[in-house]
Amino acid sequence: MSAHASTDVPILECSGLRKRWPDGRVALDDASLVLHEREVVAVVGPNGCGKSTLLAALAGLETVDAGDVRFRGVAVALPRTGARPTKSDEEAARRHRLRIGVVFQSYGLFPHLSVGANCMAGPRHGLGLAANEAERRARAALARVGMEEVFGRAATELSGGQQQRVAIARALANDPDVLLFDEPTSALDPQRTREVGALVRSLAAEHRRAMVLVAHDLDLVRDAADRVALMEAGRLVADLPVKNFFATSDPMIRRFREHGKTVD
Amino acid sequence: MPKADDPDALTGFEIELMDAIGRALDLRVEPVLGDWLALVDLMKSGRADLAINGFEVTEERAAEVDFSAPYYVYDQQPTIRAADRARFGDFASMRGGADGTGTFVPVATLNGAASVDVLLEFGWPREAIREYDDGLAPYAELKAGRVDLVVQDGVVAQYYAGGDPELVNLAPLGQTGTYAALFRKGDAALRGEFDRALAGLKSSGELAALYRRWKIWTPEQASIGIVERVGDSVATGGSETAAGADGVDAARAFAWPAVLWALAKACVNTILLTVLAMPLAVVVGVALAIAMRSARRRIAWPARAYVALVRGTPLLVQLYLVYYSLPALGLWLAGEIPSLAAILDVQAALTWPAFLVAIVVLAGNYGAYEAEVQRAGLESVPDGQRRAALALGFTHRTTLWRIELPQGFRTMLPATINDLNSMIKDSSLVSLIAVPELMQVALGIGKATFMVPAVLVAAAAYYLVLSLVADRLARRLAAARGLGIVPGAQRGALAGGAR
Ligand SMILES: Nc1ncnc2c1ncn2[C@@H]1O[C@H](COP(=O)(O)OP(=O)(O)O)[C@@H](O)[C@H]1O
Ligand SMILES: [Mg+2]
Repeated sequence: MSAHASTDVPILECSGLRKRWPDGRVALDDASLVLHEREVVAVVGPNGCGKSTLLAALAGLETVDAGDVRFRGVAVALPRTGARPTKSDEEAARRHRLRIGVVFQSYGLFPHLSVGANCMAGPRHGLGLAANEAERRARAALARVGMEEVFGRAATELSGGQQQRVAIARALANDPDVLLFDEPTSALDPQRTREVGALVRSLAAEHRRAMVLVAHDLDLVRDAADRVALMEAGRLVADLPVKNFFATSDPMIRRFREHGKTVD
Repeated sequence: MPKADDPDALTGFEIELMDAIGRALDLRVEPVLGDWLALVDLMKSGRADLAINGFEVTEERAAEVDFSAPYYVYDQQPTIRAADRARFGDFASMRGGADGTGTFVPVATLNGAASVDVLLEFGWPREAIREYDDGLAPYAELKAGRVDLVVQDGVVAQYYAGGDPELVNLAPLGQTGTYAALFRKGDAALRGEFDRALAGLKSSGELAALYRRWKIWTPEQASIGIVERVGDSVATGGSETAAGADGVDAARAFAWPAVLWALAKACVNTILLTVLAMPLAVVVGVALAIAMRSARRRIAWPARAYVALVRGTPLLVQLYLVYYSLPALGLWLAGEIPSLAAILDVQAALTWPAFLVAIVVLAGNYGAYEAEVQRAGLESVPDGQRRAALALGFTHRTTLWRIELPQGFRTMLPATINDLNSMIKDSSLVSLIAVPELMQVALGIGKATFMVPAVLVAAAAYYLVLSLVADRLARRLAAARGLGIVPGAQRGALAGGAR
């Protein structure tokens, strides 16, 4: 549960996000979400409801048709559908991405680089740090996820669970203010799910940085999140403290808890 | 004074003639070799100041170029197979018999030579005349039985058929003409000097001695003022036979170790061409691939047009145009735009050495193919990779250079190695512009020694070895640099991204 007063300026919020895919299907439909400093919010919802698209929009990686994303109250120059961004908008979006760490569902490690180089990539080419400082950060981040010994290995040699931990380290190496997780355990077997789940739980328990956690695994949500937002068809339809989410008798939330669906 | 000449040993006497003229004029003679039909282009392009290669004085040519005074009188020489001596007793029997009603035998000759006109005058139908691009091929065709007669000028016939027991030269046809050197139209100063020096060689007896040494002396030479110094001729006559090895025979001597060594040395140029042109082609290809994918039409369109144009036209044509026509364009520009000529020697700026032309054209041509390869590579990189890089704060440009290009290049490495392999063999086409690489040297030796097939097989073996070694080396190098060839399955498993 958030320990912060509601009068605090949210670290990250979005309001009225709308997006249609080129084929006309709705991806985001007036999506709004608020994330406070050091808060962990879980976003849950049925498959294909737009969770990944929402995360990408929050990170400034997805074009939107309408709506805003604000970082500490300041609107981010989001890429807009059909418009070529100006140089300064592009640079502003890049600065925004530097503050947001993203852990993708399928890791997204760079296969042509070593583990160390994957983790140095952000500090080196994103933050523009010198090589030795970037390496120091990469090693520290790998140590945080318990993977310091694979620094020189090829990223492709690792197991799925190890790759996901390296992907988390890669995001941490930029020291972002917000971490976005997109179903970090869904591609893993039960054993690896436990390992990575433990890592996500411990990062959440630190309360060092705000997190948005898109997850299917409701046990992970129960352990890690302060709040839960339920998404359906591109829209956030419920938003409540984690205890209430698991206690409420609201029929839609119950249906989702029990069957993973919001409608029959 | 650069001059155009054929590398063929046949023209050895002309090379000696030019040396003698160079000495007389106190000029440095620098041979520029070229294909027979290209010699005129070579001269027009300004790459050479004069061309000398058995050019007959004809009116058609006089419209394009200026001629020197004649330096040799030739006659048309019919040649048949020795075995046919009984069948074709005399020349008349091959052109429809005494009454001219029978059939005309198929005849071979040099493409564009005066012999073609002579044959037409003798009544040969066009379809019975086969024309070849070099002087040796007609005799090979005669021996192979594809034609029954060769008519070429006496010098050529003497060189190629004179010592061949399978062939006999019949009596010359009495259709004499003269050889002269060619000059660019209006280059009267050089032509005057050349003629002056030639006149000196004619009257001193030096030219007659030279022709004797090359076994092409005939009494008709006197008709163009070539003087034989009788005392000399007798005195040197005896030793000439012994010294014959200096001329014709030396040119014909064939020894495998020497030939293989010469081919091996020529491989160095083939390797050098590929080693310089292929990396350039990859650079050109990457640049074009990036440009082709640009959202800006001003950038994408010219790149696409270049790739379409270069991939859609033969490498041979591209080589020819850049080597011969670019300098000619410079010459024309200098004439048309004097203000430009005042600040820049346009012709010199557009006249690149043959080796440079070869590198530029090979790199430019293969660059167009590599553009498609690298574009496919870029398109094969999963979108998740781009997103992951952007999420780390990469700019689009850094993403392209650090993530997309290295992965695309790696994926397409087999295709690039394939291009490298093709280039080794396509580099043989630059023999057209007389770069002394493997093919050029092999053809030169083959024609001079009548061993074209054997030497070509040897050259082919060298190409095979080069291509196998290049494949191996490229793969090793790639593996050593951590660019092991990525199997597709691995790639799919790593396709990352927000989905
Ligand atoms: N690039 C795309 N183009 C078109 N449709 C897409 C694209 N990406 C996702 N979608 C569709 O948008 C919907 C929402 O996708 P997503 O945000 O990935 O859902 P979730 O993460 O909640 O499962 C899905 O129906 C998906 O098929
Ligand atoms: Mg998803």
